[in-house]
Amino acid sequence: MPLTAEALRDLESAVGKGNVSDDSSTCMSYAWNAGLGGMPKPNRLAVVPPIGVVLPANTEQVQGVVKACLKHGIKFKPHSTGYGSLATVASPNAISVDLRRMNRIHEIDERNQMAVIEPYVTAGQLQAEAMKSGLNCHIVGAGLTHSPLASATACFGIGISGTTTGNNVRNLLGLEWVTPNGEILNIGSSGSGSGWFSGEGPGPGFRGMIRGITGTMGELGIFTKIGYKLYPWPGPKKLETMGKHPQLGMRIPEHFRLYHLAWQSWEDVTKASYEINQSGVAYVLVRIPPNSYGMALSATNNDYYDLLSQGRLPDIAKDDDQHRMTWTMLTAASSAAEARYKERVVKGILANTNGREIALSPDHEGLVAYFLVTSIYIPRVLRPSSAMSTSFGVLESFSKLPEVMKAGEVCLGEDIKPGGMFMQGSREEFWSWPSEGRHLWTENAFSYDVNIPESRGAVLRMALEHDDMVQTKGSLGVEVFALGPLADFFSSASSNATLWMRKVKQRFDGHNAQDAQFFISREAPWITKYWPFLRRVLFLRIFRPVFKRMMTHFAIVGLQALMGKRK
Amino acid sequence: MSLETRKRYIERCPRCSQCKWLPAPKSQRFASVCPSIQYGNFHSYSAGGKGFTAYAMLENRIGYSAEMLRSVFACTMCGACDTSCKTNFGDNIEPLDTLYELRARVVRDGKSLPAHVELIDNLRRVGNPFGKPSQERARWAEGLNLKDITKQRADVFLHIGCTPAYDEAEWRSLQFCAELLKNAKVDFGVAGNAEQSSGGLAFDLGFQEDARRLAEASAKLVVASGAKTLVTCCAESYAAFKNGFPRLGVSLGGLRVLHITEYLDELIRDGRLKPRSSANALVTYHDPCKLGRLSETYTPWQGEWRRVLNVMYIAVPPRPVLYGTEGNYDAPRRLLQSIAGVEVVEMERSREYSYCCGAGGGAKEAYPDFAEKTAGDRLTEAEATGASVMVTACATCQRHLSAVANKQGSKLRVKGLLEMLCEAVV
Ligand SMILES: Cc1cc2nc3c(=O)[nH]c(=O)nc-3n(C[C@H](O)[C@H](O)[C@H](O)COP(=O)(O)OP(=O)(O)OC[C@H]3O[C@@H](n4cnc5c(N)ncnc54)[C@H](O)[C@@H]3O)c2cc1C
Ligand code: SF4
Ligand code: SF4
Repeated sequence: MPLTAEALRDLESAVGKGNVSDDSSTCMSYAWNAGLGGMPKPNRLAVVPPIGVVLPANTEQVQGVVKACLKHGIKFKPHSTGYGSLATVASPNAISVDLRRMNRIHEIDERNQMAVIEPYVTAGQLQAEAMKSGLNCHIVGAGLTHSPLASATACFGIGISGTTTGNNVRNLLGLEWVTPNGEILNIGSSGSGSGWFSGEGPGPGFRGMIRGITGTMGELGIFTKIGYKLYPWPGPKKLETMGKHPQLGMRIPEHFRLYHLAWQSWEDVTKASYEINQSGVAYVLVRIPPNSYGMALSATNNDYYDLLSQGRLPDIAKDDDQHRMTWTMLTAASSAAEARYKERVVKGILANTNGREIALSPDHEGLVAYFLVTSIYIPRVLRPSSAMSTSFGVLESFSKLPEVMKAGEVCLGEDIKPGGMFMQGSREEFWSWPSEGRHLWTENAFSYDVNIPESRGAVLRMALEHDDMVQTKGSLGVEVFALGPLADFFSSASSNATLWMRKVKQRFDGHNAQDAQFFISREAPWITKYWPFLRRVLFLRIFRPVFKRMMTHFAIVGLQALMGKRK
Repeated sequence: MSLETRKRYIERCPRCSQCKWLPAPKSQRFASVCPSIQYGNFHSYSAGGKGFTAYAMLENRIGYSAEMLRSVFACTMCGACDTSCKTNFGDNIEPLDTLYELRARVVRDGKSLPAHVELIDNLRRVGNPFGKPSQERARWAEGLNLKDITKQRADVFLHIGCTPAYDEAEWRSLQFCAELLKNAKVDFGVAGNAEQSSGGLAFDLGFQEDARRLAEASAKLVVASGAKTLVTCCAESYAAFKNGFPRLGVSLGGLRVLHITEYLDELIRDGRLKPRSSANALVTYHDPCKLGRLSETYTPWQGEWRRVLNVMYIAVPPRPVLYGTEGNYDAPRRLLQSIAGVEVVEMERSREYSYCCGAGGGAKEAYPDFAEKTAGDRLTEAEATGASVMVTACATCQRHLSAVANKQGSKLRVKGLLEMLCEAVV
């Protein structure tokens, strides 16, 4: 159903001529299914492209767009930088609202350590500007090109430097929101006109409701401006790089040190984690699976494969018991004395916990340090086949770490062994760090191939099985990646959160102006009712071959065939 | 190659938008690498988006429209997207190769822009894109008594290029350059009116057959001369010789190819030329795309992408990957430094990350507003360095940047590197 002439005219009067397009090639460029968040079928172009794309330049224009959509019965989906597939539309009468022209950094408040930003400020831009003021920002795994506003308001928000830079759930401060009904609301301190410094108030404080732990994935209005926490950066005002593109490293600043530390058991890793967190010495503390380090330190698939097949992988990328139970740590200090103190603390912790240091070559040191500070090379783990999925987004106490690691191995199971359907990498693929320097975040991310239906099927299997495992065992922490219908299936593990999420969706999206693709649908899918029975059968060992075939089938025909259209 | 062969590469694009940005931005203001998306804003203007357009064409999901053609051709073919894409994805996607094939497909479908058809008509008629008579190509050398390399042997084939040869403002620099070579006792010759475009522009516009014909004619002329070294004064031809010819399967018979800046730099370092120039200026150097990242030597590859480790794809046999780092970046800077009193300050986007001037790829002819905006953005960056002079080593960049600087009332003076050297001679 194309945009009508009247709708086009109303959209144009909202954002100005030249900033609306219903051209099919323009629309198609917003219909790419990158295999991150959605499963491509029958190829990378979504079956349903948007019927138009608009480029508003400010909040009033966003409001104008929403009102025009309501008037003409068109759905809309906000789009910041659009990394992956979460910003694609799902309905045949939807437009993409590309926020690219809203790219202002309104303020970097050095003394109060915060910024006020719009949706199309990228993480790389914000970091570069913040560092000039001795500050740093949180950067999630999508790296330098994603939008911190999208991440903070609507889409997960957890990143490897979280020891110091927290978690976007709480980095979000004051907030401006164009609701699905076309109202402009200010939340937190911005709602009382007292600035952008707080998400709770003074002013209306319902950040949790419109955000929650996962975010509403663009299916509950459009966020147009936020206050965003920044953190002290004791390094230089400009990051100095070294090496040659694309293997750029960071010249490690004076008084900084990079450690790669290893233990012989996850229990020792856990013990060390508590001590490191208590000591406060880490600027970044992260565990990256050896296979992912292999990817991140090589420039091409061929480079990585050569290292692997010729037995030349550096220690940091080896998946044996000597090298895989690790933390990589960057310490940052402002003086030689502080740096010496931190070194002593690290040594003491290693001695207490049977840990040791693994040496890195100077090139790798630079690359890893740059990677840790900017997240720049995380997307390299997408390189094998350009599609990834993740699982076990566990936010919990560090005491869960050993058990979660084992569960991850079990779940990846046969599929990461030769002949399997996921990348043959490390035996588990857990990325872990202490979120906000305190509690464990860990997720098991793996590569698959969108061109192989069985591989796509294996992703569905993994999604259901691991959620079931987390819920059944009850001891693996809280699972964050239960999106869309999975939230309905497994919400009983999270105190039936979906009941509340659904109320929020129904209340704020009264006109049903937005898709229900990744966030909760206004109505529960019919299959939810039968799910308790189905799951008892589905996960039986004896039923497994049929289960696998079913998943491949649904990977081909789409889950909609099973669940019907989500309303 | 064909657009069909690009499909598997496009499919690997995770839509990361790195092709819009510097891998390591130093500020928000100068973080962009892609003039096209800065102008068009819709994702279809980015390199990744152009790839999706190509993919949608191959899947018969879209047809031609003015907006589609604009998103494809309001692009300078500067290749910055390709360099940035390789930050994380190596040779998986190589967006620039897709852009070449997408343009070739538009040409095959007979949908080229009128402005481009005019350029090609000129190239076919008179061997230069401006439509100027081929007999006027060597006017710059009148009275200089240079060796005619089509008739006499010489060690060095001095290639001039269309823009320097036909732009009178360039003639003084060319004459100065010939003088320098004579002083250094270089045995060189020029092809005079026999020279014609080396096909770089035709290739960028998507007219690959025209490009091949021009490349073959140029190669024949050069090889027949028996010269050992080919030195070109034209950045576009330099890129064509090193990168374009191998793509078209045209060989220069192993001849050594240098840009004039590299050759002069070599002469100075060998002690055959002594810098005697001085100027007092804070200068910033604009790396021309064609002299930088687009001039890396291309090696054709034939092979397959093999699946290993369950779902990872590797090239068999391995293929050389061009990262943009091996362009001609140092010689022009050394030449500038050789002028006493000149201080060089770098722009945020330099070397392989240089921001295009806006003139290339037929953009200036088809979408002048786009070309002007791009040049304006580059001039703003140059101004931000505090420099009073912006120097470049490509006549096309220089012409365009200085025209826009004049139009926009910029205080910057834009100069060619040879011009700068020539003016500074004491
Ligand atoms: C390689 C890779 C690694 C990743 N690693 C992590 C990670 O470590 N941690 C993590 O938290 N996430 C991760 N992600 C997901 C990531 O959170 C998002 O890709 C990114 O934060 C969103 O930024 P974006 O600009 O790409 O958003 P978009 O793709 O534009 O949007 C993401 C979602 O938010 C919605 N949205 C965007 N802007 C707005 C707005 N202004 N108002 C309302 N809704 C909006 C969109 O509709 C969409 O559903 C990763 C993604 C990739 C591709
Ligand atoms: S072309 Fe390359 S850089 Fe651009 S979106 Fe695709 S993968 Fe990213
Ligand atoms: S070639 Fe240059 S202008 Fe064209 S898409 Fe790539 S970066 Fe943009």
